[in-house]
Amino acid sequence: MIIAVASPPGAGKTHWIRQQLAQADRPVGYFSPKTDSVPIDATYLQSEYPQLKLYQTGEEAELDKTITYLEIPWYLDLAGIEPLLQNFNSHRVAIIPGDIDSTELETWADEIIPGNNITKPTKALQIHRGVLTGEILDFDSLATFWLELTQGAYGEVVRAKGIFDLVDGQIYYGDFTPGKSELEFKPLNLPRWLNGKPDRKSGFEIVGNNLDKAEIAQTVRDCCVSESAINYYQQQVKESLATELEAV
Amino acid sequence: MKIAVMSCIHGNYAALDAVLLDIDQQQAEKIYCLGDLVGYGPYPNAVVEQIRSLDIPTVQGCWDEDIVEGLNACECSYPSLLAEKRGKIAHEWTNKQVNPEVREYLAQLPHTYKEDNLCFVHGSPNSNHEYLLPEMDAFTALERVLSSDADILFCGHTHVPYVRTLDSGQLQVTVHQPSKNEQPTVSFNTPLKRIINVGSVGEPRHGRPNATYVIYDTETTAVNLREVEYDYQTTCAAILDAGLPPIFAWRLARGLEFAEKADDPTHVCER
Amino acid sequence: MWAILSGIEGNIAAYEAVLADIKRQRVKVEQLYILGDIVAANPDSEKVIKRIQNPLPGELEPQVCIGWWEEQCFALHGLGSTAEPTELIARFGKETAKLLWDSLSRETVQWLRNCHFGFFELDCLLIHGSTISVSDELTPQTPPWQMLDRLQRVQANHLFCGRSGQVFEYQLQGGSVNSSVMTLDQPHPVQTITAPKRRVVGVGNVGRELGKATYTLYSPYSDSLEFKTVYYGSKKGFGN
Repeated sequence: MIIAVASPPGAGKTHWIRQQLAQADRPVGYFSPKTDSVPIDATYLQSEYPQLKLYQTGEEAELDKTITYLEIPWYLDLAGIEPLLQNFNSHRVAIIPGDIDSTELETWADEIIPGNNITKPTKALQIHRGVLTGEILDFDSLATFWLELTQGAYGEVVRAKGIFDLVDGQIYYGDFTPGKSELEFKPLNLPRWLNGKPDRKSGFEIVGNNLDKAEIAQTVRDCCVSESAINYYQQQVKESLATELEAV
Repeated sequence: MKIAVMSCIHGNYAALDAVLLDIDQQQAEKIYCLGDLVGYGPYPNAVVEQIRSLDIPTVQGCWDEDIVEGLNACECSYPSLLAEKRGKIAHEWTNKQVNPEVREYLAQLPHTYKEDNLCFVHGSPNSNHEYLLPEMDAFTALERVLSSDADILFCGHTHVPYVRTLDSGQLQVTVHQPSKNEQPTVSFNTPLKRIINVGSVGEPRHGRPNATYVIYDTETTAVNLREVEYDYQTTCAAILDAGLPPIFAWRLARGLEFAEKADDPTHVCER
Repeated sequence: MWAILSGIEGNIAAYEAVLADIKRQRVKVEQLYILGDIVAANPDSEKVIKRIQNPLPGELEPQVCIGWWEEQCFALHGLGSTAEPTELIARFGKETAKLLWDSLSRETVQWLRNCHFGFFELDCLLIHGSTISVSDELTPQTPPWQMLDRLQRVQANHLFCGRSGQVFEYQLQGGSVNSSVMTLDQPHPVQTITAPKRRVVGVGNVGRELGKATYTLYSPYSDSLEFKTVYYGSKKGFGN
């Protein structure tokens, strides 16, 4: 059984899937096509539900081994996904904000769920993705960048999300949708990485208009800890963790 | 006598011009400046020349010091890696721009300047890198004023203006020394002290793009936190034209800077 | 019980006398802290270092932090925070600087370089000068505002220091201050901030005065403090 989920950007696909996972009593899987390089939502969901089976590109044939949620990124053509859905017993869920007119999604869906209200994008949306795998960022730098980004310093942002390895060894999830105001950054419930460059995927995805991609890339690079300093920070974290343990 | 005190002009000539005009309208008789004439902004030479030509008593800010001594600030004076990278770009740009007379002028600026019961510093009496934030522990704040040996301590550096009044400070002390007889508990009291942070002319961070400075009346002790509108777009355009990081212009137009708050604002580097 | 001392200043006889006195204590001393100024412009400085590095069987391993004289050594050897030993020359002159240079091997200076800046144990900061620097001299005459500032910098309630060489217990019994802040957008109400009870202890000096050493015994468990004076050498037999 495959449950395919589609919606405009920021309407709440991952949020809805997460709610379903919380109620699941059988093995559940998750697959989001074309997100292998920066699997933001997959990493987030798995940190919340460690038993969640994640499928990679190339494993499509096995999708029906579990009840699998197929999250379709908004920028993918629904017609392109169709052959995959035809192969399996599938249920199609569209999450549609009240004020959005989306005939295409409505026709496609078996079930329609009201979504978060989103700002209606006026122009064609751009998407900017950055892979940060192996990089460690400094928290205060990232917080500064994220605030600048979401307040429009690098163009109008409709949606921004990312997973970032920070100097404390934890991987953080950031999620921004306009109107939901407050800065949302939280460490994911995954092991700390304290031995050299992290060998796990991280990166970000920004959707918006007039995005200054070069400035974004440069600023993110300036938030990264130099390779020579990684060991120094990790050593400090290890020592402070050891002291905390002693105190307990 | 009404005096005007300003700080942190940061090469923003348009803002300085507007503030000088406002000072004139407020009929202040004397002007003082708490440093950071250069850095971030596009007109370091013009700002310094204007301050010099008006003979304004000025103390040295951390940016002024770096231009003279070379970038010697340790990484702990930057709140983040990003702030450090941007700070270095601004420093290098400014360093190339300033002419020798300007450098010489910045070099001879004192760290503190005193007049009667007033003391003028950039950051704190300890260091031009220390932030005296309004939420700093009241006893620590009081100690800073007392160490300046003045009643009013004027400072800048945080780019957000405020007046802090510290009144009826008292501490009880007992000292035991084996060689001496038992001594009674002594009470130490302080008269009213004030910290006046004058904000920033050229890179305000109070949430609006307007320049800020302070008018102080030495007779009535009244403090007036002034907020002056000016054409910040001119400066923003000049920042972009000069090839400085565009984010400086973006920040200036909003009066915002999120990063410039160190974890430990009282931390003073040993180097 | 802790024994806390400072300022041996290369006086090996004084250090031996204090070690002997520590052994004579009825309550067992479990920790020995030496708050800097182990060395000075004194040819016996190396001997003191060797004695500290090699405690006799049954003796405590001293916990050592750096002091003003050590900092001058670092400056002389180009290892310090300042390029020149300006403070040393200003206070004692070039002759003394030369004598200090001759008194210590490069190897010893390197060993000292690895010592701590201070210790923070059980709400107590143990340090040579203060949280500001090794040169910061706290005395019974230091204004209480300054004392409180030094304590607040590390959030400690007890500070043990040795720069002044004096023995004293300086108790901040408490206090208060009214504070109000006005910003561009709003005035904030007046708040009264109170200061908790805190203490600064001068632990004395072992080696500076010939024939007489002072040091401090402190029990962090019972919070009892005792100043000790030890007479040795030619003065022995006089006094106590």
